[in-house]
Amino acid sequence: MGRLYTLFRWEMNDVVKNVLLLFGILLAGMAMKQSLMDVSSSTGSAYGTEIRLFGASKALHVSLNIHDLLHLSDVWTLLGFLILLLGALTFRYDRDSGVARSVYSLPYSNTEIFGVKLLSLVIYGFTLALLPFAYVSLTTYASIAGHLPEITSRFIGDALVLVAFLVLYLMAVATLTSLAAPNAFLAFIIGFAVIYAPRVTGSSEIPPQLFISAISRCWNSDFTPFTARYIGWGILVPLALFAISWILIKRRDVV
Amino acid sequence: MRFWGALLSAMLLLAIGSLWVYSSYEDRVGSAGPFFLHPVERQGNVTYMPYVHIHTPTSSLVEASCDGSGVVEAYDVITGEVVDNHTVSGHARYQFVLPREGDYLVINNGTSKLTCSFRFIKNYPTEAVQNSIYISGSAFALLLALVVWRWSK
Repeated sequence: MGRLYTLFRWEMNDVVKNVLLLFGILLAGMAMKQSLMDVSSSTGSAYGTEIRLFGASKALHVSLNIHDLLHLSDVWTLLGFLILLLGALTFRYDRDSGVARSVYSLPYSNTEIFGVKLLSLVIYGFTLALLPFAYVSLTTYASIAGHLPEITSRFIGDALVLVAFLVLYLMAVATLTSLAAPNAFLAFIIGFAVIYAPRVTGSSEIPPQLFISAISRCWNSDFTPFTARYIGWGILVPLALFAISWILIKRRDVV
Repeated sequence: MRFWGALLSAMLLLAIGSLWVYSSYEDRVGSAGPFFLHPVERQGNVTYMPYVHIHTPTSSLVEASCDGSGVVEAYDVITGEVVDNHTVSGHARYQFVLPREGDYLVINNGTSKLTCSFRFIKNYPTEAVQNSIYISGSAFALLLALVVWRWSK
């Protein structure tokens, strides 16, 4: 186990990836914070014999604002960009710079190296997506932090599942393009095309747009992320891409 | 080691950035309305209550400007406490404080109609928010110092 841990530590402490993490968390967090800084209002009416107006579950705008943090277009543009770069740095850049020749000649199997690199990518990806969200929503609403579980109970579970699906998909694309492309720049550009084509063409049938619009819809109480389409794109497709990447890393020599 | 260094620096900078966001938001004037506030109607035990929901991300000094006559009441949505009530007849311009970030409910508890608009002229983070940022920021800074110290050894 210590043997793999050494590799894992080496993989986690790559300087460029660390710098990327630093700016990623900072920029995503600041974008989220700025988006909360606004007054909002709405009108409505209540009618009946017993009117319930108060309680944590009635804090509509707090709930909406926290919900909005999870589908900010700025943040997902940034995260898509950073996860693709992280993938290229993890799986491709070491080969370009020649480090991989030494790493892959160490007494580790290619599968072990792939597993450790993937684990570090997963940790980086989820840290980037979830840490700024948690920090910003908890500190901005610190006076009512105790009520936040109830305020957000309407969407938080479904939304986080969708975020996980989306991050997995982004990481799978990043992994496969990095292992298939001949160098890090091409890997990044191809991944970029795959991730951004659906956004610019406005097609909401394929990720990442599929998930981003689903996150905004999980406000509805009858919405569930556990349908064939979301599980297919969020778990099965990433698993398939990871499997192909695994075959590639086992079969291809380090170039 | 370096991973934790990067992570903690990012969180520390995010804490500092949050404070900076509050200092620039302090004087930003937000507005809500104008709203037409229909009075609450009660017929027997059936109540018809039109309301306005207002959200502020900080505690705010609000300037209300109302026309008509009625009683403008503001409640904290989570606790149901009355934050402010003000009787208006004719025209009134008055100020009140929303004590913390969150949602507020505004109704007209009078008998005739009102039009109100609200300007958020001063916005300050509450003590709880400031404490959460200072304490988390200090914790990040201390842990970062520890990481750097162990790093240098």
